[in-house]
Amino acid sequence: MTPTVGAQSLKQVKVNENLKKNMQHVEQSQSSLVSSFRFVSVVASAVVILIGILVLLGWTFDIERLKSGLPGLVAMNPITAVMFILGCVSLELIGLNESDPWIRRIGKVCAFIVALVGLLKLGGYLLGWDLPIDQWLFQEKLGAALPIRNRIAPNTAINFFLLGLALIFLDVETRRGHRPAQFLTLMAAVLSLLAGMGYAYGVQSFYGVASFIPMSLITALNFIVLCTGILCTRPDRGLMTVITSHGAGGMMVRRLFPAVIAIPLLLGWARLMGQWTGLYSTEFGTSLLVGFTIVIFGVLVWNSANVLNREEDDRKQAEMALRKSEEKYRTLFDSIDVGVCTIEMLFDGNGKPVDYRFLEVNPSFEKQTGIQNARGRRMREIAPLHEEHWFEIYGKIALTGEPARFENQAAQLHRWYDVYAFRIGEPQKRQVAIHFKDITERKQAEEEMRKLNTQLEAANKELEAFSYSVSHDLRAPLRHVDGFSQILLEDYAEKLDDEGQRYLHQVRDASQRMAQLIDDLLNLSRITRAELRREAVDLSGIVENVAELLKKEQQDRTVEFVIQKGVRTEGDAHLVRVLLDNLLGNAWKYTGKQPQARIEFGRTMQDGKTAYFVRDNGAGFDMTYAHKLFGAFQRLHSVSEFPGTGIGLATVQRIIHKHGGQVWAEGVVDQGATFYFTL
Amino acid sequence: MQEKIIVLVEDNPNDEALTLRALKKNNIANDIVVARDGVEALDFVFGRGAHAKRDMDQIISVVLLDLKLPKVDGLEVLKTLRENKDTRLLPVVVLTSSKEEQDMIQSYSLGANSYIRKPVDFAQFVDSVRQLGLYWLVLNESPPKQG
Repeated sequence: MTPTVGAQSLKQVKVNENLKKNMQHVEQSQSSLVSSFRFVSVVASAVVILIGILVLLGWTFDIERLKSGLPGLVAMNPITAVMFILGCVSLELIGLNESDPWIRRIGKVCAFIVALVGLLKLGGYLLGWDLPIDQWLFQEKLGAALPIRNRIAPNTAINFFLLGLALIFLDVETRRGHRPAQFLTLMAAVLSLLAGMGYAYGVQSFYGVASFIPMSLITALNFIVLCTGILCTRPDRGLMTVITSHGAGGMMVRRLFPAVIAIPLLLGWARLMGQWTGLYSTEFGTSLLVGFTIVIFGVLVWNSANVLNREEDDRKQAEMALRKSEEKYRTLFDSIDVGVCTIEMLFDGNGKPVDYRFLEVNPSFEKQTGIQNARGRRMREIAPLHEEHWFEIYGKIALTGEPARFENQAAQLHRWYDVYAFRIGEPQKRQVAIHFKDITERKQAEEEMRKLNTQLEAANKELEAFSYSVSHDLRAPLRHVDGFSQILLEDYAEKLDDEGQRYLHQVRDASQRMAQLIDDLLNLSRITRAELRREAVDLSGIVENVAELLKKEQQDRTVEFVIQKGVRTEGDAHLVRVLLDNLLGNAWKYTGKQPQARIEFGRTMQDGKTAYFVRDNGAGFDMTYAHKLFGAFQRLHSVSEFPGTGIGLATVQRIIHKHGGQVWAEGVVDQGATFYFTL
Repeated sequence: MQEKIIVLVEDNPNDEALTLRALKKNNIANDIVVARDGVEALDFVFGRGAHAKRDMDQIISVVLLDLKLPKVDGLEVLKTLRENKDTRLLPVVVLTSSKEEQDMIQSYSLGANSYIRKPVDFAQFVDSVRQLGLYWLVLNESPPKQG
């Protein structure tokens, strides 16, 4: 692999890793986002309850600060405070506890009370009744500071009505996933916002409707907090999903929303402030407001766009990496030599595997099986006679998840397969992936070989029997020929002249030779038939042994033996013995005419390989005839010069070739010969 | 003194002639009984069949057994001899021309006392027989007859 390609794939690996990390991150933050919103809801209701309690305390102990927040402003009606507390209780019970139906019912009852109070008060204003619900608490103190009695403002009533309903229908969801409760809450929030802004900008009509007591500032703020709480209690439903989504949109919303609300408020307030304090005129103020709005929102939008762009880039990169990876695997799948397929196991009512369907096959599949358009089809319909064991094996893999490697036959397809199969995907899907190769040819070759082997063995056995009878039956007549010739010589010596006796000797010699020939041939064939058994052999030891025997057989001869010590190798002990017997026997024989006979044995290096040699200083041979040396019954000397049948070297060669070695010889006439061999 | 017989089991007449001559040349004076197949050999040894009338007081000193015999094979004869308690200890020398290791192993396994290969060279054969005779008839102590 060149460095550039390596670096590229490294980068891809990094991107893939990032992808994975991001996805894990997303999952984690999705749930953490939801829980943080819920936490906000809890905090919100706590705050609202707290304020409600503080107001009540204020009314109880006549602390103006607690009743109205800033001095000079209208105080929160005590019943309003109670309603707030009830509302929060309801929120807690319903919003934060989704399971126990009794708790939910209690919560709904509280919400109902709130809504009812709101509705009644509103109805009262609209229809002219005067329901003194708001007079129930601290009646005597209500009219103290102001010319008219402190009452629940109409917009406060509307808000309670809306929020009460919202709480009752908190978990109602239309088919399209909309939540009416959220819309109700938003409406209430907008009203509160307007009231609050009214206080901030001094817009009378926002917070006070006609001649009624206006919604107090604390009430307005409390409403906003409560609305936030209600909205945040179901952060993954309805409208809220946009805000809590983890896509680019959600991120943008969460960044921008606070700004969208806060900045106009601030700017508006700043503009008015400036105007009131005479810093600048209306026109200047307005243009300043507009200018700042443009700049700030411009910056915000640009920033968000930038973030979105980067997100998009990352996503595109991840997509590309994914596609490249997909391509890589598809190419692999398509071009692989081995047949690959995925199947879905089908079981009958008893859980017995009865069939399978092909889900995916690679192009090699068709080549290896001969089945076309396998995708989507079941094996039983493709090959009704497919063996039972295939289904059993795959069924077992699908159930246990243990992979299996095996060879087996698919008779209907006329093929043998080498299969590796394993389960993939979720265990309950019962899908198995199979890698297989058509080994029909190999099996056939194996079968052929087995047949040939059996034939060979049979032939060998026949040969064995043949050799046996040959050796036995051929020798008997020879014995007779020799025997009776001898008897003739002994008993009829006087009747035969010298010539006659000489003929009889010839007859005897000939039969001896024939016997020797038979023996040699038999040995030769036995060697070819014998199996090679490799073991450690001590060549030096064997040579010494043979030398001893030769000396003992012919004690009248003195031959000098030079044997290299410690020469060891691996080979068949018996055959090596025969080999050395022959070579040394030859050396012994052909030094028969040499008074200072010398036979050497040792190890040497020839062309980088270890070779062994037997050297003698006897009759030697003419190198011109070297190629004839090892032929069966080939001799370079006549029988009268040196006895022998000419089979010795043929045997030697057979043995060496059986060991996978080589044998060759060098000789000079009347100076000696050296026979080299490797094993 | 009881006569000691040599039983020669050999189917080939030429081999028979040569062996007898070798024995004669070595002055082995014992009576030699020739059996030409396995059945005849066993019949004689046990005194039944064709040889029912043989004098069972005659002691067989040694059986020279060829392996390749018609009807009942040499090894079969050996086996039968060894299975019978009367002849279990009878000295049997396998005299054959076979050089096969298997034959030797089988013979010894079945309880042959000795295994001699008949050489092609007659002179050698005569010498072998001389040694045979010297050993089995003179040197060797025959096992006592079990009564």
